[in-house]
Amino acid sequence: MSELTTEIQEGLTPPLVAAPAVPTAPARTLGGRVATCLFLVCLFVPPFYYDDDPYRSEQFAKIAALALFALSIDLIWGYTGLLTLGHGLYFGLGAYAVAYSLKLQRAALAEGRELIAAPDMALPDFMAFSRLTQVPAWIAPLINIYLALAVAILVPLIVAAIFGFVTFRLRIKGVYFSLITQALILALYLLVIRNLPYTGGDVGMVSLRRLELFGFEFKQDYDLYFFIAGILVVCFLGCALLMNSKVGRLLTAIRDNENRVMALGYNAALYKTFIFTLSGAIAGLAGALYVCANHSAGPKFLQIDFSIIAVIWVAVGGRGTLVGPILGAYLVEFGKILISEEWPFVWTMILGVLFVAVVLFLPDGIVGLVRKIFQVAVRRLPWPRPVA
Amino acid sequence: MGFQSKIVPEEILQVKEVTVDFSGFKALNELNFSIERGELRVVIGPNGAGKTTLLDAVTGKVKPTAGRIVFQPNERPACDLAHYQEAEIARLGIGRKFQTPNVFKSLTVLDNLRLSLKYPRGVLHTLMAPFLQDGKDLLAEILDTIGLGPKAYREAGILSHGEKQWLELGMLLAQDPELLLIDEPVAGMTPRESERTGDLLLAMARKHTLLVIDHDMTFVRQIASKVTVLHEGRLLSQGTVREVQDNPKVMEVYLGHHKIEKKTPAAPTPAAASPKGHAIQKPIGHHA
Ligand SMILES: Nc1ncnc2c1ncn2[C@@H]1O[C@H](COP(=O)(O)OP(=O)(O)OP(=O)(O)O)[C@@H](O)[C@H]1O
Ligand SMILES: [Mg+2]
Repeated sequence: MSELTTEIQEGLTPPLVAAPAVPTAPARTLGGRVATCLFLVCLFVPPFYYDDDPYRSEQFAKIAALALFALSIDLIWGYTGLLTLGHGLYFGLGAYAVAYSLKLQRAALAEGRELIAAPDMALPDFMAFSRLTQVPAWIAPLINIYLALAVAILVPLIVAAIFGFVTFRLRIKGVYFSLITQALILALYLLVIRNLPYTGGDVGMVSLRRLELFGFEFKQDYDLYFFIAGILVVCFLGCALLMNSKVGRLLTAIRDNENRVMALGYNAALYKTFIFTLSGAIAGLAGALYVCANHSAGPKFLQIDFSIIAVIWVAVGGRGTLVGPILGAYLVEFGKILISEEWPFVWTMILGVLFVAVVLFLPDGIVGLVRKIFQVAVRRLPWPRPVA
Repeated sequence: MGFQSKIVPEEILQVKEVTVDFSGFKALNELNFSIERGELRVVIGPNGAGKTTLLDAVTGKVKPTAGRIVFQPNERPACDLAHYQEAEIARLGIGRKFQTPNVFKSLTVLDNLRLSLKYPRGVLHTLMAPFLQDGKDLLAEILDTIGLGPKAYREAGILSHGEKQWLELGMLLAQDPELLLIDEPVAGMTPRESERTGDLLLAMARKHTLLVIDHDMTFVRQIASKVTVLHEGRLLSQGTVREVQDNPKVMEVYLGHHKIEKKTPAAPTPAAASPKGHAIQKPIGHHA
């Protein structure tokens, strides 16, 4: 048909003005979509499988939160190509915000008081030990869990926005960017462990109250797992929408060739700031949810190895895909649980070997491997297929 | 060239006394030259003459040490490009093709073009943009022009060298800038590919002002009406292809390149043949 139109128009106008159509997309994305949906459904399987083991459910609830954290790193590293080695900062900020809330709530409930901020509200144990006489004014309002959750998202968001804006404006890239993210998290780590009266110091905040939202207390860890996995899936779908939009393509373009993006007239620094801010907010939410399942929060989130392990999850699962980081976090963390139950000391070594192996042999992670196998299968097997 | 006569000659870019100094080495040395709207200008010059640096200076990638670069000097607020950043200059309407192919390798051909389309570049606008619907007709036209329609959904990274260059020219078309700066579009191409590229550039020149950098004289003859020769950061000669080829100063700087086939009358000493060439080298030696 297009040939006919060209022929007719050729008589009237120069060929440059002839109107061919944009070819339609090949159907090869369908397989990926189906696999992704299956994967998301599978996320809800573990509680059924382990339904007589509350301990496992709690572990899975934690893993779901960590998977959300991995997702946030993938937006930055996988899609935009900025290797952050200090993303635990945003996770930690979210974690501490909710930890304050649950800690204050527990203290208040122990004294049989109402869960509201007041000058004479109950002191959490670590504040009492360090002889504070009342809860500091900037912590007290966090007893309200909704406020705490909002803070857990907004504070990381704002910190990420400022940090991102400044570093990207100054065109800090590559290794320097990674180092600066580490410097920042190190600074916060020192701040936290040296201010025991306000942060719980080296120990952090332990034996937190269970999460209660809208009068519903998450007594069973299954409930919490479904809650966190639900949020994970919602975030996944949101990210999928974003990454398949123009912004997503532009971020990939920045990863491929930032100079070219700027030559096109896009202010790459603003786009990087945008995605870094979003990523910081998601990391904060992940931290908040993790604390709800972990029932404690401590400076280990602010240690550099935590941030690096999170990058390993993304690498193992497959960077630059959305399934990858989640899969990576689930496999590596569950593997860690299974292996360290049997042989407690070999885990770190296995993790190191795993990382090296992935970097060397699976640059696109497990998702990349599966894709490749699938593609080869499609090509080799004699089933009917559309010609590209 | 008929199309040029329809447009009133009006300068679109003025480069005035521009010097770019890389810690003592002057890649551009008080360079003066200008381009008119609707022109297809070719800039040639030996390696290291400062051609790429000229484009860097215009697009804001390097800031001139001295001098002014004015874009659309006749417009109401004439833009002194020194006051703008790289992305802003691109938004003013100056598109650039780098010397090496510069496509987004993990995006499809079509997405490469889509990102280049002339829509507002702000984050909010990009967030709201109906990416897949935008600019279908223009995209189809461009794919047709650059001949990559059958590969629209291939990743740009797996295209051949020539195809990547064409894709990049297509991206410039999608960007639809006032002025197009194109650095060595046929480097590394076969003669056939290079001829196709020439046709493509001629087609582009119908609607745009082009500044093309190249070495290859066959190619220059195919596309050029007016040629500017740079040498050691200065303008050496300017005119039609013929005029430039016959210029003894040009012949001299190109002697080692075998690109100008006309015989030179006995090899003269540099000073005798080109007193200016001698004068150029002096300040450089002085600085180095
Ligand atoms: N960032 C820089 N720092 C120092 N010197 C530079 C820089 N960029 C370019 N130069 C020098 O400036 C001179 C001009 O370089 P330029 O790339 O403009 O040459 P060119 O005319 O494009 O050459 P070619 O034909 O090889 O592309 C060269 O001698 C180069 O070494
Ligand atoms: Mg060059």
